[in-house]
Amino acid sequence: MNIAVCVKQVPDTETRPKIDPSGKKMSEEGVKWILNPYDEFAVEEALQLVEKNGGEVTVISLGPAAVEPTIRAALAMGAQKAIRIEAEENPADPLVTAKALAEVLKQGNYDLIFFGKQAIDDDYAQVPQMVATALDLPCATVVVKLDIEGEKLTVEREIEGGKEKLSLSMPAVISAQKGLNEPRYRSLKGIMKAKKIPIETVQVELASGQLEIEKVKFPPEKQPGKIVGKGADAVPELVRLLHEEAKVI
Amino acid sequence: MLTGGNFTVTPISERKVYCIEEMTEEQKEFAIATEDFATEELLPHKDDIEQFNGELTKELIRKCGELGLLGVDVPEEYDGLDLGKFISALVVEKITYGQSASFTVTFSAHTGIGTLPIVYFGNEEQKRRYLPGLASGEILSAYALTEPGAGTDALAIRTSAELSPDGKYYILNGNKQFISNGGWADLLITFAKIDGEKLTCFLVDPKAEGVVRKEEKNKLGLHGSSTCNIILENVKVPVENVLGEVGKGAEIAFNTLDIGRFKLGAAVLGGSKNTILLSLDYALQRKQFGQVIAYFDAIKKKFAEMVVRTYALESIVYQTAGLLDESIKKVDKSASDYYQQVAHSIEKYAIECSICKVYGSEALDRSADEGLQIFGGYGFIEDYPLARIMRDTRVDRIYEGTNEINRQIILGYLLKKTLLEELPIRERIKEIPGVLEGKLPEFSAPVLAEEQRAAEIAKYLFLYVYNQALTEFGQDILNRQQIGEVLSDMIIQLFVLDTTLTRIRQTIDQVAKPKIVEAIGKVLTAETVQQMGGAAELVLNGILSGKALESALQEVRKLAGMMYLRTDVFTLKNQIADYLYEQRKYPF
Ligand SMILES: Cc1cc2nc3c(=O)[nH]c(=O)nc-3n(C[C@H](O)[C@H](O)[C@H](O)COP(=O)(O)OP(=O)(O)OC[C@H]3O[C@@H](n4cnc5c(N)ncnc54)[C@H](O)[C@@H]3O)c2cc1C
Repeated sequence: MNIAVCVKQVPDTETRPKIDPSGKKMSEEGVKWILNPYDEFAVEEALQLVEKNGGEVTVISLGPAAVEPTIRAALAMGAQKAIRIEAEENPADPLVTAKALAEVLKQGNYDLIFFGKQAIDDDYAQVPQMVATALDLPCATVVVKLDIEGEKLTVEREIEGGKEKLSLSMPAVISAQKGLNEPRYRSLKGIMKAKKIPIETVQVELASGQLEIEKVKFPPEKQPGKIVGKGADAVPELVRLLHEEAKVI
Repeated sequence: MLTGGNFTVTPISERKVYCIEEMTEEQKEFAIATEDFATEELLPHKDDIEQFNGELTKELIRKCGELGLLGVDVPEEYDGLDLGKFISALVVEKITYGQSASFTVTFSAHTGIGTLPIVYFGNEEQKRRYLPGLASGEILSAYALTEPGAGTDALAIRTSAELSPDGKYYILNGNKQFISNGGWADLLITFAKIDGEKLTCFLVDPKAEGVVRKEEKNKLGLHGSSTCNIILENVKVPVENVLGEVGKGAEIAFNTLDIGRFKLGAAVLGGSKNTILLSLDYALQRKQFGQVIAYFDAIKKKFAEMVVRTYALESIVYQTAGLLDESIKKVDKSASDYYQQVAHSIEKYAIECSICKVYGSEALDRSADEGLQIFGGYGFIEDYPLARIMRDTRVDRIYEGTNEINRQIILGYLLKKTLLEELPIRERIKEIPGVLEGKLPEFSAPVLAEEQRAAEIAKYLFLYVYNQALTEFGQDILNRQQIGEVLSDMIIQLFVLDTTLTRIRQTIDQVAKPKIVEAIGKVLTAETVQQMGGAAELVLNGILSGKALESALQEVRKLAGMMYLRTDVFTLKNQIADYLYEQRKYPF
């Protein structure tokens, strides 16, 4: 099997976010970068498939040279090849990313293309679907179980209040959800092996974005609660405050 | 002058240190991979481990093996990774992020004293037989040297080994005390005397007839680790299981301990970072007098001092790691006695290894104590984390050689290097009169120039006192233990100062908050030189008397006066604490 896994470098989940002076993005100062946690499920699933059926896993990421440690993290898990699509920074518009990825994926003749279900930084959850559309491939998102029989792919995906079972033909695009598997840790040996794998860089003309971030801000700080009084006597005051101050009734 | 102890004589301006800021990408990845494993696989089990769960602990050790964490010091031809001491220090430090000192001890006893003797002294057949299993965690190892009558005085062991009439095996009899991993081990590296005198190392199968593991010791801390006595009763050990040469057991015992000491430094470094993290979590949410307690000035001082101490410890541990790697790299790989030469290249840095152990264990002890204080009454209650940290770290000052004996080792090696002129100590002593007249080279450093100058004078101050002690007592100084300990402490302080300041000078352009790192260097130097000045004066009273004492005191005061700084440590500690609070954990 020939499998591609698209991965993204994101701030560590423990990062205490600060806003950049531009007001349009999160500050990158002092941020520890990691492989997007949902992408780990994607890499793991790809590795397991290749271990069972033979083949090769290629990791693909878009971004500046600074994202290479993340690509190496995926290689250290066991992937065999890596491609970095040159870009000065991660585009704000997911469509730009999706088009660039599709451009590169088109040339790879992949049986399966994996993604994490979303990146934990911008949380769009759009790129997998957009890539599938661009490549005219079937797509299953938020996948928690995956089986292959011959050319047929059966998956379970999480939906509101339950699960949905789908069958797809290959090639296909899959976005991975937590629960799909238990991602392996990088081993020291894996890290040493990964170091010897060259990361191919490719240039793709990036489309111009149609979406622009105007401003990011923190949610309003939680105000401390207020105890108005006790018992029925307090109700009129409570109603007044909810109406006049909180403006919710 | 590539030998240990040279920090006492080499001018600080000429020094260069190994440090974590200058790690390669690959080294950083090793650190992250180990940290991820510790926080995701070990941390959630920390309370289960503490219930004394051999199955679980062995399972986790095997998981470490799968990731390669047990094979860092094992050569590649025996399924190890042979990554050197810098990485092995990193790995131990990060393993402690699982917040189980018990597990760290199991891990360290296995990978250190339980594996290294075979790496360095095993023959081809022994290495093939044991190392792959030790690296994978299939075999768990223990190192049994101590006996009821032979603790610090390890050479006094009484376990006997007698060759069988057919010459095929030795028969061992004896009692081994306090053996880490003793209850769980699949391999014992132990020591016995042949003919009552030839101290020899043996590889013993604990399942062999006559090996009796006694009940687990009821310990103050480390409740999740195994420590028990092992009785050897007519145990037949095949002659092929002699490790190294008959009669050369002491070499094995002591060389292994050097590495053990340096690695203990790495483990308590991780412990210090945990202590900061856990104390800070608490201090930032506990309120008294309507205020979060972290912001009381007295609490800020405690946190700032924890950070300074931890930064200094981090500096000496990785410097020592780098020195060991550098020293080992010089040995010719094709030499027939390659591993013995490696062991000797480690011994060159015995002073630094012991300093990592002594300074590190006392740094964590102090931080744990202050951390507990920050918790107030809750610190004394077992539901909160500091009580356990405090109990667990207490033994760090006792095993791998007590801190008393390590202080003697530090001074003893320096004495040896002085007498054999391995270090140009006498030349430097001759420069002291000039220094007293103010002849000290100009210091032009972009950062911490005053501090480096003070550290340079501190070296002369130490050499001054050391020289007085040598002149008065000669080698008998080793028996004047109280005075010896003061001198040892000064040696420790010089290594800490010299290494930390050099690290800062070297990395100031690469760090995120140069102001804070500078503040750490300033606080450390101001306080250390003040202590050294006081100690120097006090110790002279024990060495000299009458007129000689008076004139020596005058000279020491003069040196001290040149060395003292005008640093407002209070404001600086405030800044360090504020930065820590912003970062929410040890920030470097
Ligand atoms: C939890 C735990 C795990 C251990 N694990 C192992 C292990 O895996 N393998 C192993 O072989 N051993 C192990 N030990 C044993 C440990 O190394 C010894 O306890 C230690 O070396 C001290 O020996 P001792 O207890 O006999 O104390 P002693 O040697 O009796 O010392 C008592 C006191 O006298 C002081 N003292 C002794 N000699 C001198 C001197 N010359 N000058 C000044 N002061 C002196 C000591 O510093 C100490 O304060 C372990 C111990 C513990 C508690």
